[in-house]
Amino acid sequence: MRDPADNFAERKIRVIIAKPGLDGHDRGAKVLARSLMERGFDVVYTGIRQTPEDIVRAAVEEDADVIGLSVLSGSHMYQFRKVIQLMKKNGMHDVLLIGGGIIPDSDKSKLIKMGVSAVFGPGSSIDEISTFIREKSRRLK
Amino acid sequence: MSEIRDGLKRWENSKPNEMERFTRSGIQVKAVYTPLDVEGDYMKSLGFPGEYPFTRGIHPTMYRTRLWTIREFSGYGDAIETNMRLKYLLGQGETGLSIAFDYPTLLGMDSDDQLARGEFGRAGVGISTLEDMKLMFEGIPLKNISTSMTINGPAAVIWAFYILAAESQGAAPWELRGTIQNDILKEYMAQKSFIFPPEQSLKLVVDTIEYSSKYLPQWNPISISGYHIREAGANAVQELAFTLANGLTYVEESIKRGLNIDDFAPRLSFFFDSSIYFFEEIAKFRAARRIWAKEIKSRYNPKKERSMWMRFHTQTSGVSLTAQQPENNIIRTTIEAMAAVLGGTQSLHTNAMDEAWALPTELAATIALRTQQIIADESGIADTVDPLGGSYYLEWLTDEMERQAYQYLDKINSMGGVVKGIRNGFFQREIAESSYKYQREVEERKRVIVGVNAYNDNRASKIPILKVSGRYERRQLKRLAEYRKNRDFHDVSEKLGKMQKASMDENLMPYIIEAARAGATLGEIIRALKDAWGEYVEPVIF
Amino acid sequence: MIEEAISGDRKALSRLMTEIELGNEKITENLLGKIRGATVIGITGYTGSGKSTIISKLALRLINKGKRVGILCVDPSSPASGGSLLGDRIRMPELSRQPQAFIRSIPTGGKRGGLGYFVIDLINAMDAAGYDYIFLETVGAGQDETEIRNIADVVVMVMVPNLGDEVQVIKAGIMEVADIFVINKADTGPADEKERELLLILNRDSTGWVPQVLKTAAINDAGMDELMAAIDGYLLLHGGNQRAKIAARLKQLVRYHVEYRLDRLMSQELDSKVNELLSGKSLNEVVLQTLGELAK
Repeated sequence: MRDPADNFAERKIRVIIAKPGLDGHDRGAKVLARSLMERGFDVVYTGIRQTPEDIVRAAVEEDADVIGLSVLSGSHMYQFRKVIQLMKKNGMHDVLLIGGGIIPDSDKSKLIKMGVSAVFGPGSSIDEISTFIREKSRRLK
Repeated sequence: MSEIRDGLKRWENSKPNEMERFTRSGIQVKAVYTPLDVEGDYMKSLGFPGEYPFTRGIHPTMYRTRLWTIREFSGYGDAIETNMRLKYLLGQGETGLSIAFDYPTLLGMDSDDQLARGEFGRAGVGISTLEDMKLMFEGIPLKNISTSMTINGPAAVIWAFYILAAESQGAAPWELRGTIQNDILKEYMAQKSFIFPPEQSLKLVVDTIEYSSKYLPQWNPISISGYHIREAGANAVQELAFTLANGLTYVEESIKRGLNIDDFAPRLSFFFDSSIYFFEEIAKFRAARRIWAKEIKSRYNPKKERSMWMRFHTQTSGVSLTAQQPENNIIRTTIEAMAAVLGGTQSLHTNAMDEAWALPTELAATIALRTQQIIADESGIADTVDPLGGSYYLEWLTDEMERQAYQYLDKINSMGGVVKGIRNGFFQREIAESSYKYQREVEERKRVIVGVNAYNDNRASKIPILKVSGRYERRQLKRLAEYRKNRDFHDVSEKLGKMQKASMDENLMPYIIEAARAGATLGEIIRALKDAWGEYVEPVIF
Repeated sequence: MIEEAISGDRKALSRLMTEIELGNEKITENLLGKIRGATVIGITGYTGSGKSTIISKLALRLINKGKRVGILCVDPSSPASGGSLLGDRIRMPELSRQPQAFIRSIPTGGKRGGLGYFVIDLINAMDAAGYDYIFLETVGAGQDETEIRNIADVVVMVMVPNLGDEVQVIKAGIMEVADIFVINKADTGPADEKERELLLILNRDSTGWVPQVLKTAAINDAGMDELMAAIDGYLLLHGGNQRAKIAARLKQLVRYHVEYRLDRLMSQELDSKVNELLSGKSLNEVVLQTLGELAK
């Protein structure tokens, strides 16, 4: 599963997987982090109980290409809104924002309008997610 | 027997080749099971229901005498809104209450806490004060109803609110029936809504067990849970083993506290998952009863039979439900509910079909309720005790699961016990591995999930979704602000100080109750304990 | 970009570090002139020894004294996929919330292992941006150990009482692994024994410093003041040795960049080189030719 364009000193696509808010259900986030690593991404998992500020700060320090938020507690509209605000404030317009967890369809479309690039609901395959990231992230390798 | 042996050989040689089959926890399943698979002593391994080792059930006549409790988990928004939903469910035939709390409450934060922003009332009801608790049960006589509260880190405080709310209705503590989940060990392993470090949290749990054994004889101070461990990714054997290990740890700590086994063991209760792989679940429940009875008997030699009973509540598996084609979830839940009933559960929650999307709508919650009623009243499954007992397959599988569970129990023992295992990440590692393995199997289509990796249709689902309105939060914040003003803060501070002083040396329940009575909020009590005990930061294991 | 980073723009510093990771040698060249002389503290030790907790406790103390602290966490990339799980910052929640701290993860990269090619350049970037102390956290296996000695001003090795064959490694005399040895989680096992073992085999270095052994329980903040003092003590004693340290670091820097160019060349040209060999050129010729290509 090596990246076919095996260039030198290339930076792998760096993905932050974060769980904003108070929900502690990290099974999906952890499985995703590990699976993405096995597909050649550099993954930073920030853990549970992160505030939007924590997450964006980590994304800035790591110069992340992708931020993935996992929310299963129902507070997704609030969390995404906050993260988007902070990303704008930090000029992170070329950073991909994706989401997963328990997010009803009606909210999905609202999130996409707000600036989330994709929402991967329960049952999404890792291949789907990793292909999407490779195609859409700013790092062209 | 030798006739069967010969017959089996002949049969195996003549049957066509076929694919290997495994249960979800990896136990290989043969094509057919015969009496050869279950050579054993009926009286020793099964016995009669209501008698040691209770494999077939803890009561002699089980559902013939009394049906399992239909207990649907509910709660959202604020206390006033939940009060209406509870009254609705009672009116529709629910026989016991089961309360879900929102995230801030689960983590011991008040609704107006900074970190609670955006979380109020979404995963359950938000309760910050004694007043909220009273409102939630307004018009519902706590003397006559049994209430289960799913709360862990701050369980002692929420319990204190409940006891005081009941008191204001004229109910004495000894009249109260119900359960607080209060199982902190599984939080470190799976659900992650811990607050304090393990050692102090365990001490607080023993405080509640002790207090309950003295003053609330009808109350179950703990619901030792496998559900969350399973949902976090463990397989059925792990769920069984880790839950039992946790249970035995609580018992051991209570004995160390000086309690007599017969004073508290009868009131320990359990909470299991019921997942879709039908027979494995039924075997799991039966093995659980048998192992628990064996261990309690051999370690503590109780005088009361009840001390060896494993009484449990079951919830059908949330993680087995799909967001795609949600109507299929009704079928899944039905199969899982049947497994729980065939496994002899004492109470049951059936999931609603829209579980993968949001909290259930009234319609979805009603269907979930009807599922249990149809099983109970139309199917006849409840007409005899342990109807599948004696099935060659089931008895073999029960034995096998017991054997594998014991392997884990021995391992945990040699590691130095559950708390040691938590600190060095053993359980988290096992769970992470199982969940990773599961995901691989799904992606490689070795495990079929209808509507997800097979039989997909791209039909958009049009089921209605529950929306939690923002006005509940506004209402709550307003009331909370008022509440904060109208109390004797001096008195509150004093009571909190006393509680902190007593925190490691004395049973905290009386202090918590006094602080609650004086008007301390949930957040204030928890913060005072955090100051005394510290907060727990988990080692992250993939 | 360098100017912005120097003026305190966190995003600019982050972008600068990315450029370095991409092999932008113009930038690394430019940075050499902007170094201020930050103190580099190397923290090495097996996974689970508590390095991150220790870094957190020490860094917070420095921040309290008004310093700015940079943290570089090196994590191994998977040889199979090239990806990595950068899981160190998650273990420093309190530190990561401090505005005077900057935490960055460095995957070692598929090819090189060890500490990657550009770790010194990344240190220089943080240095130029005004960070007074820079912690370099590594897993400490094999190669890492010699390299970190050339890079850091002081090296702390973290162990736990029960696990680890670190003592064997040190005994084998493969290297002077560290300047300060910490037996963390000292309350969980035979820490005294391990301490004794270590003290028996550690020798003085050229300045007369005998490597110190400390017992700590970082999670309870126990032993952290003592560790800070030991680090300060070491730095003070070896302050006069600055020239030698700078020389060692520069040498290592040169080595890294030579290796980078060589590896890059080889990854592109390897096939043709082998073919040349097969077509009759001698090994010596092929090697010399390759080195010649490097110089172009």
